[in-house]
Amino acid sequence: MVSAPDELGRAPVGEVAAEVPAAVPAEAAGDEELAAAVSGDAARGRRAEAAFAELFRRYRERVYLFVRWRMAPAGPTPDDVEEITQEVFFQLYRSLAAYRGRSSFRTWLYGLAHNVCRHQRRRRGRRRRFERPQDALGPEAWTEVPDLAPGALDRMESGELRRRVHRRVSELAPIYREVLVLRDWEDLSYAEIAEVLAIPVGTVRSRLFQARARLAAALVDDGAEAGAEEEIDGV
Amino acid sequence: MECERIVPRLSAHLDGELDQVEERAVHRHLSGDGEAGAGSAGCERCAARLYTLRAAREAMRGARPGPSDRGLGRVWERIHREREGAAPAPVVRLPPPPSPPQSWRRPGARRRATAGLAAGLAAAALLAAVLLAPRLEREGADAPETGVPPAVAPALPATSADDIPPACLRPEECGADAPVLWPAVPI
Repeated sequence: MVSAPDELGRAPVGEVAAEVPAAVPAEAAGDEELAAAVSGDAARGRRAEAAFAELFRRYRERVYLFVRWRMAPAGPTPDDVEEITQEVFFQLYRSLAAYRGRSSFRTWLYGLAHNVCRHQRRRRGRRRRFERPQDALGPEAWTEVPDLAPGALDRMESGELRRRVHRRVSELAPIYREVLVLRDWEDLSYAEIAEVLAIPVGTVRSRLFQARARLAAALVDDGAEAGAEEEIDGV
Repeated sequence: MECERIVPRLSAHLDGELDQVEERAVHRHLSGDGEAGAGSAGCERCAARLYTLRAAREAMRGARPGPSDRGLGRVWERIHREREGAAPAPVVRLPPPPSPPQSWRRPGARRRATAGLAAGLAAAALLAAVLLAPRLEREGADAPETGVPPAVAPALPATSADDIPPACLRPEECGADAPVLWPAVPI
């Protein structure tokens, strides 16, 4: 009996099906079911390929941004980021045979992506032992959260807001970007984020607060800017 | 003063990641219950902060990239290339794969090595028996009593592992056909 995936397309952890039932199209299957279909098919036949293609489709863009932001201190070109993203998925395909569903597929995928990035940075000779938060919003620890006027972000068209969020997140230090991605895009728990990044749960908590406070401050500026433009247009 | 303690916890409060004690403290601070007596107003400043953090979280969630299969073809190309026998790329974060068979460790090589060693020992035993037989015959009457039966040399040296029965260290416990790998004879 395969449990239904949640709204994010995930099957419950620990309930990995041996394979995707033939009647379930890949698009409707949970991540863990797809992963099991790829790993369970020794011959890696058509169903395994369809399952892998679906996993790729779901996560490609998010992994791409994760890689881009994670590798930012090494100054990668867009081609580098593309190449590393493909490396993540190539390694994913090869290593899915070892996936046993003990952790959620997302935790496992991002753990792999994290390690591929680390490996690539070493290979490219840009190793840094510590990443200091050197973002455009100041390196000091924030203890304040700015005021955001109610509805300030609603003034922006959704595509515009999305572009601004991406730009503002890319201005944050990598340590803040990665926790935001893992929490707000992948919905990992703090414990899972700690596992992926190999840091204590308390560090995850404080980094997320710092990240959101910084992002909020940037969005407050953007909201004010959008409000000003609206007023000008109104005149 | 209370706000300083609460503010860093607001983000985890949003995510439901505080423990019970912390959650109660944040809730009390925001709702006012239990701080200055029941019915007192909560901290409006922290309520505004919470609103801002929530808006930032929702904006981030709304910016989640959609699905895409851009670049899938190149990943398949690489997978197929590797399948077709190109040198395998190193795997990241996996236990090391079983080492590829080397020329001196071909499947069955161990068995053949055992067979060779056993055949050599058997041949040495046969040679020793042949060379020592006349001497033993001459000295047999004077040999001390050891309790060890005389050596039984194999009739024919084995030529492969499959031909070699298990070694018999105590001939009296083995069948008459069981070979002894060395002569248990005092020399």
